[in-house]
Amino acid sequence: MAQAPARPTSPHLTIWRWTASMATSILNRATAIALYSGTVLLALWIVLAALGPQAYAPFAALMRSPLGLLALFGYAWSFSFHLLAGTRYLYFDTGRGLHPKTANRTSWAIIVGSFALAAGIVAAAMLHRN
Amino acid sequence: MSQRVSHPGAGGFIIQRATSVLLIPLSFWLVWTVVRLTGADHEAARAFLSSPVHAALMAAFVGLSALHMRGGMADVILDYSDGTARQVLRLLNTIVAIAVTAGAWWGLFTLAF
Repeated sequence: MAQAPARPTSPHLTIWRWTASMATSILNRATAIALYSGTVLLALWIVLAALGPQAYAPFAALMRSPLGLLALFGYAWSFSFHLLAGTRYLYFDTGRGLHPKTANRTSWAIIVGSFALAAGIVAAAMLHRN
Repeated sequence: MSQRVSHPGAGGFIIQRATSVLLIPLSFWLVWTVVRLTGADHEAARAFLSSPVHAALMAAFVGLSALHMRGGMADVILDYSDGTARQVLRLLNTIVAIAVTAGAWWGLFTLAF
């Protein structure tokens, strides 16, 4: 196969003026990649639980540490954002909500809403823990 | 001579949307799980994961997530890599999806029986 010429790769960040819908599109992919590692952690948690208390203990201790709290918030926010943005893409698939003004407005709603939802999840988790 | 197809086509498109629709309701259950079990000790985690309903929901969530994340990562790989790197990354992506599903399902099966 011949080597392809060096072309700029998408999404051409240096060319376009930033819009909320563009930021939402990029964040949807960024949170997808974060959730990819989150799901690996979820599977690891199940495997360690199945292996027994000794294998499980270090993981539980890590999840209770500040680093674990950071991971929890990162997961909660990525999850909230990807859920809201993904639901909107399903709505887009029906051919609705595509007008630039509407799309920008729903983008802002997703950005703000994802932080609210993530804060709610983490707050509930912290309250439930004690 | 057949052209090597590097794009997933309509199959990938449909899998991505079907798994999205199924994962939306499951994700509400997952949030509730995370809230209940963050930092839980082994006994609490074992008790939760070995209950039949939660084990079945977790098996479905991990399996559907593995399909969904493999499809999404395949798109990222197609966008940003070429040639041998692309082939290696696609293989790794499939291995991760299988390992995540197999690991979680093995764990759930072990805890349940």
